[in-house]
Amino acid sequence: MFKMRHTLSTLLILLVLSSCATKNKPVVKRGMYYWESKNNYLSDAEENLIKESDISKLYLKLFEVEYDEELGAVPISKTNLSRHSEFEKREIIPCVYIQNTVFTRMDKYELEDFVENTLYLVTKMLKDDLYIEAKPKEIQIDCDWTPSTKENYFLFLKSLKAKTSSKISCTLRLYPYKYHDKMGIPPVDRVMLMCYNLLSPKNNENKNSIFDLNEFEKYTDSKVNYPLPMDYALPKYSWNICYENKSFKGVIHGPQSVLQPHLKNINSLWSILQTDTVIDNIYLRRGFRIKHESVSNKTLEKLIDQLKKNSSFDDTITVSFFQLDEKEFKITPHEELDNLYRRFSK
Amino acid sequence: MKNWIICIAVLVSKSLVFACGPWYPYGEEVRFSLFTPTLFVDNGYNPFNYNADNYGPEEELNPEDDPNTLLWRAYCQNTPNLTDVYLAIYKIDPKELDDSNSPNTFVHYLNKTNDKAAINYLKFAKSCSRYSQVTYDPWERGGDHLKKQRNKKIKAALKKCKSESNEMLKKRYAFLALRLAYYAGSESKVNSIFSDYFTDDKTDVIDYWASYFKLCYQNSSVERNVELAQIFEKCPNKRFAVSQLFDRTISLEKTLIEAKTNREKGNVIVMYALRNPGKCVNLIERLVYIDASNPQLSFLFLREINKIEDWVLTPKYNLFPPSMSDYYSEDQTEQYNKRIASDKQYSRDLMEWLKTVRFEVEDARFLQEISIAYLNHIADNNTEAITQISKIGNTKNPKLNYLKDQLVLLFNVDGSRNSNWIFDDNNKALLQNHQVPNYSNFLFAVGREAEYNNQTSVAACLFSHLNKNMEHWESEAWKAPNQVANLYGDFFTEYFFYLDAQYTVAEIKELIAAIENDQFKSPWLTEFVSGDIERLYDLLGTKHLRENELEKAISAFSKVSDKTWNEEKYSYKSMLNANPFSTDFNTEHAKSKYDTITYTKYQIAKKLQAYIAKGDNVNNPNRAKDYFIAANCYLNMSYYGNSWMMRRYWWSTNLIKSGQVDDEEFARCILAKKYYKKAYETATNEKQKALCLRMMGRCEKYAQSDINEYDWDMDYDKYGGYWEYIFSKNKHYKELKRQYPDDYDVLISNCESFSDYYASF
Repeated sequence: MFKMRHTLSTLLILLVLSSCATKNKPVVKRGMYYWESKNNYLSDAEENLIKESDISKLYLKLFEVEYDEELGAVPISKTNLSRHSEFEKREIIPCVYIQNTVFTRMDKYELEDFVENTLYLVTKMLKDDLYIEAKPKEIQIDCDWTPSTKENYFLFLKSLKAKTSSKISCTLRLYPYKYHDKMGIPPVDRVMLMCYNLLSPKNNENKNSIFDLNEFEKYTDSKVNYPLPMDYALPKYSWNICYENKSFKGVIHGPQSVLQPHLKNINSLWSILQTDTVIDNIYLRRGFRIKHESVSNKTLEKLIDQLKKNSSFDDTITVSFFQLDEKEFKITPHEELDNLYRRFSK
Repeated sequence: MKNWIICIAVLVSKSLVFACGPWYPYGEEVRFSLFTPTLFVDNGYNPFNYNADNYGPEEELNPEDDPNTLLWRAYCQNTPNLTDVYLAIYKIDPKELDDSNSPNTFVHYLNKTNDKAAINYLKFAKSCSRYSQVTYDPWERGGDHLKKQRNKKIKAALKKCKSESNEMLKKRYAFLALRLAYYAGSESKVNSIFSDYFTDDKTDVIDYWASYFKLCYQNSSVERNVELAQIFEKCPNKRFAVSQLFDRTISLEKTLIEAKTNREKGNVIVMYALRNPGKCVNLIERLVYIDASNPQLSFLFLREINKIEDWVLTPKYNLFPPSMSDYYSEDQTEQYNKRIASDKQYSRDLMEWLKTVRFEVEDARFLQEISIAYLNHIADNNTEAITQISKIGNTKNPKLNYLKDQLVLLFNVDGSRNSNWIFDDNNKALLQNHQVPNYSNFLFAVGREAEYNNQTSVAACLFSHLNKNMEHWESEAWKAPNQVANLYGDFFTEYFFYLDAQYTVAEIKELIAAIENDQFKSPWLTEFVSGDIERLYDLLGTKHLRENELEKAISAFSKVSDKTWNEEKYSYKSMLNANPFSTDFNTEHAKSKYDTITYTKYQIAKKLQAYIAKGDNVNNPNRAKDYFIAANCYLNMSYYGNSWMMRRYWWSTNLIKSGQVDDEEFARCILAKKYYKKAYETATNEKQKALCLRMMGRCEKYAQSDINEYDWDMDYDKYGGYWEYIFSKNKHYKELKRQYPDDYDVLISNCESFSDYYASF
């Protein structure tokens, strides 16, 4: 009898321990960004991926915003996605990318209109295009703000938060993360730390501009007490940047395989095109230099380990990969993706 | 065998026509035209060319036809390349306008001359263009919100207009404001901007554009019609909108009174002829009388020729009714023939009038001359057509010369009734050039004329070039004069199936001989038919078989190699995949236990011949069995058997008879019955005889169902249903019952009894 009681209490303790995440072992909600505007629907491969990897949050870019001299902020690159059964089963977080120049040029008196327009269009697109009736739990704003645009941007966020019952989140680059005293804390409910794009692709010939561990460590080498709940966005994309001599000719998104038959590799990043070809409407000529950038799963593991070193995760965090694209995940089986998500809680 | 709903054995069509779904050609797909307007130039009249499709605004103009492009080029002292000007003002990103190293000669010129005013104007104009669409509403907030946005732009445009010193740019800014005011729905703003910045004296295309938007807010009137007619001539990209606004309920005579100059009057006449689908020669006559040098004359005249081509030549060549007409049924054929006769008369009338006038513009005059010859041809006076065209020299416009050369060839082929047309290199160049828009119509017409002159081999070679490497909308579809049907209906897009339907045994033989003897000395002409030589032998054998010439069929089939019989693309292997010498009481196309042995057409015909020979041999003790097997083969070569491909290249559930010579045999199994009867007559026991009668009854069932097609007005219930009615008419089953009452039930009702009775052979 005593033995049984002892076993039961041990079991209860274990259950309590396993259901209660610690600071170091957070509960991870699995997220994925979908940034493509042109597609009308998710491909079968993409749909399978979100099913098999148990993605519970889908960050959908609805539109981007640019500034027109006479008209002010105008939406562009609206998504063409339409209703999808998978959207009904998952939390959809509408995302809006705002070019920083919008806040450079925008008069603060235009802000209220802009906020109203943004909320109006987000609601309308969710309802009319994606057939999502429920008010979104969260709306995410993506903008690479600078000290000069901070004031307008934060006013925009503040006003947006005041005008909707949805939670407002925004993306956070590593620089404003580390130097938040200088860059300010955006007036939002939570932030999404973007653990990639640390370097300009044009100025760093021998470095991977999508992700470079050494650069990453510069921002995560010490503990940062960021005062907002935080989620994490990790890179899962690749591109091929094409140059003729030093002159930029275009970007072909996706793995190197699309170009492979035409390439002669120089080193791990650079190749030279051997034949004339047309890909993605870009006429690529023999002799073009192609810089291929991608992030391996091994590197992503290092990224996560580095994050874990100095971050105190909230009890529940969302880890989201950028981005859901069948081309990228062809070379990453969902088991590997699963391991990456799990690594945060190990 | 496969029991398909629609079974297309069809020996593979390489044609791209049937890329997806059922399709029946109509409208533009069947309209015949050699005087294709796009053969000449894209002159900004495309939406108004004679066309069976719905029409809409032209999406893009050629740079040389766009007055705005020409105006900008003139602004730059005609220095930049015309296409670059066009691209810069309509296509390129505004950011590229600042690029002093731009490869675009217009952008380069503006930067080199440091013309910031022009660059800024172009950037501003580009930013306005999205608001010059009725539907542009970026935040999707509806009309009022958008109106506010447009008003902001109008304000900006007028501000820039006031501060601009360059007169052309000033006017352009004013026009942008006016256009935005139109799209903002502000009549007062449109009118005030017009009165502030524009007058009725028009000097360039911008003035005409401004007038158009002003007229949009005016009520219909004679004056407005006259002004619209002038805008129509001057503004190619406004033509569609102008034609919509033009009020044709006001009579031509009233409008003409208000027009002042001859050009104005001429332009008014054009507006009334513009969308008229009927005969307009009276309007063209008036136009020539009032304003013979009107630049729109060629367009209008061409439109008239296109009508006559459609009315007369579409039925003559493609054998479809004119594209702009309802489909006609057989009882309307007479009416259509009368109509064609009257249209030929119209062709003569137009030709006679053409002889009496002289067009002023050179291209129009050349068009006039070749049209006289062409109209003679259309009106069945080909000899005169040849005489006329031989008198015409060349013009500066190579496209018109090309058309003339095409006509010469067509007329010569038409005139070669008693002498074989000589296919030479000049002809080849014309016939090979599939880049020209009238290519497939031209090639087909030449082929048809050759065919009508009994030069069927050369016609077949020409037809074999149709619908190769072309898109759907450029394809040629035609009917067979003998009205033999095809799987898809009564039209053809692939020469092979056309030959199957239309050509006689003699014509196929002649074609094969022409190919094998290299009669045309043209690898181009025989490119496809040479590659199909074994298919043509198969076709010859099939046609012999249809005529019940078994020996000749075997001889033709023997020329087909095993490689061809086994090629996947030709479907022989997949459709002739059952044993034709076996059957039972019911098996038609369903897979049976006998289908372990398959044969080629040659092997089937040869084996069939052997079985008949053995049956005919009076010394053969098993004659009845050999006849029975031969009968099985004939049954299987019918519509109801597993080897129907011996006689046909396609099979359909809804069409048994297509007009072929052996239609009755195919539908009624006459030869099968004949040999079952011979088996009956030579049978050596009663079981054999009973089985033969049963099988004759099976053939009779098919014959009766063909003779007595389902009649919706008949009451079959009293027979127990349609098939019971057919059964009641089966004389062989009656005979079976009479002669073999003890065997009758088991043979009729028990499918399994076949094997038992067959074992008696």
